[in-house]
Amino acid sequence: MSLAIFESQVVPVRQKLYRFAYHLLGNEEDARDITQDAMVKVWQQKDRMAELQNMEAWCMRIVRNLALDKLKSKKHRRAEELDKAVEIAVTHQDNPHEAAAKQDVMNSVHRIMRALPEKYRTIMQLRDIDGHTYQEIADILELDLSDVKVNLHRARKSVREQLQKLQVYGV
Amino acid sequence: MEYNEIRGLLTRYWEGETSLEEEDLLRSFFAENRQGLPADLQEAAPLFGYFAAEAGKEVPEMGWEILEGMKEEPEVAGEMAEEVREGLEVAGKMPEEMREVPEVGSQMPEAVREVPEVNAEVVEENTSRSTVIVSMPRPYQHWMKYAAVLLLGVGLVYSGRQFKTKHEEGSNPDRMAQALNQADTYEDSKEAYAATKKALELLAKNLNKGTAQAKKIAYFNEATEYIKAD
Repeated sequence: MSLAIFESQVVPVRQKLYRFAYHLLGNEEDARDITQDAMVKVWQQKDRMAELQNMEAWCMRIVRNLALDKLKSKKHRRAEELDKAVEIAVTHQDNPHEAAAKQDVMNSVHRIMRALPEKYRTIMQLRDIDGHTYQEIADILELDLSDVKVNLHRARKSVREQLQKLQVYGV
Repeated sequence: MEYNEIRGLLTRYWEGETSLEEEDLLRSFFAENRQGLPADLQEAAPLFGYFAAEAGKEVPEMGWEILEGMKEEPEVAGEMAEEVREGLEVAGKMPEEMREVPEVGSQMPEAVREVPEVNAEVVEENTSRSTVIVSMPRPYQHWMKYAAVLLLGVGLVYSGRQFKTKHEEGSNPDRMAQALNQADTYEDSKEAYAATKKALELLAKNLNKGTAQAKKIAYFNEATEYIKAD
């Protein structure tokens, strides 16, 4: 029975788990390890699977806890790619100058996001990039719904202030 | 008009009051209108561009190797291998837990139903492997423990010897007498008496100085009492 649940509910979200781990750790190799560890952990607790209401949130929670442990451990080194934003696809309309400027802006936004406290960053990631509902975020992070909203508001406010600085002073 | 609508949405977005649909609307607006935006809308454009880029970012495909790795875990491997192999090969000897699987499996789509077969091959390969943990000998790993024990030992020996020495000094009467004799300044007792007397006279003289001063205070006291009595 638990194998069936595992196959039907956990395996399909593995990509999502990996993406979440990647955003927390900023490193492909670590994200891969953490996703794998999380799936093993989920399997080890297979007796609980039947009683869980939101399997995805539970898996995400496990990934987050493991990723945070990893970040805390001294062994973790921040990869260079952490400070590098996603490469922007250059369209044929963009000349090299525009493309470089755009990449520069993306890197700045990436730095702003990385500079946010972990809780803010994770909430923004889950909401604005992964498109989770407030309730799902609350389940994943084990927070109250109101806490999620308050923290999201503060996170966006902080990002907005930084963006305004970026726009006005270019820093 | 459209800009005003976006402005309203943005205000609500910064406050954290927008719904997922409204946020999708903002994302698609900024994806389509990159150029020529009013200044007040420009501040949010990079952020939504970043969200779109991050959401569309390709993550490396993670196949079944995750599960392969999982089965290498000794506990998990044992359980899963048994479940899967018995489910496929020895239907009659299936454990209670596994007997339910074919029923569930029959309701599952074809793609999912095929999965245990893939697992079975993987498990067959992996169950023969066993993980051996080899701990490397590290001779200096516990040096602090040894150092602490050594220090404690040296401390105990030193304090024991000190105690013994003091005890011997205190208990030996000859030594005490010897020590007292060594302290004598004068050999002749008359000289010693004279010196002691001189010293005591000096002490008395100084004490008398204090008494003379104290007498003056006594006069004041008498005078005060006399005035009070009047």
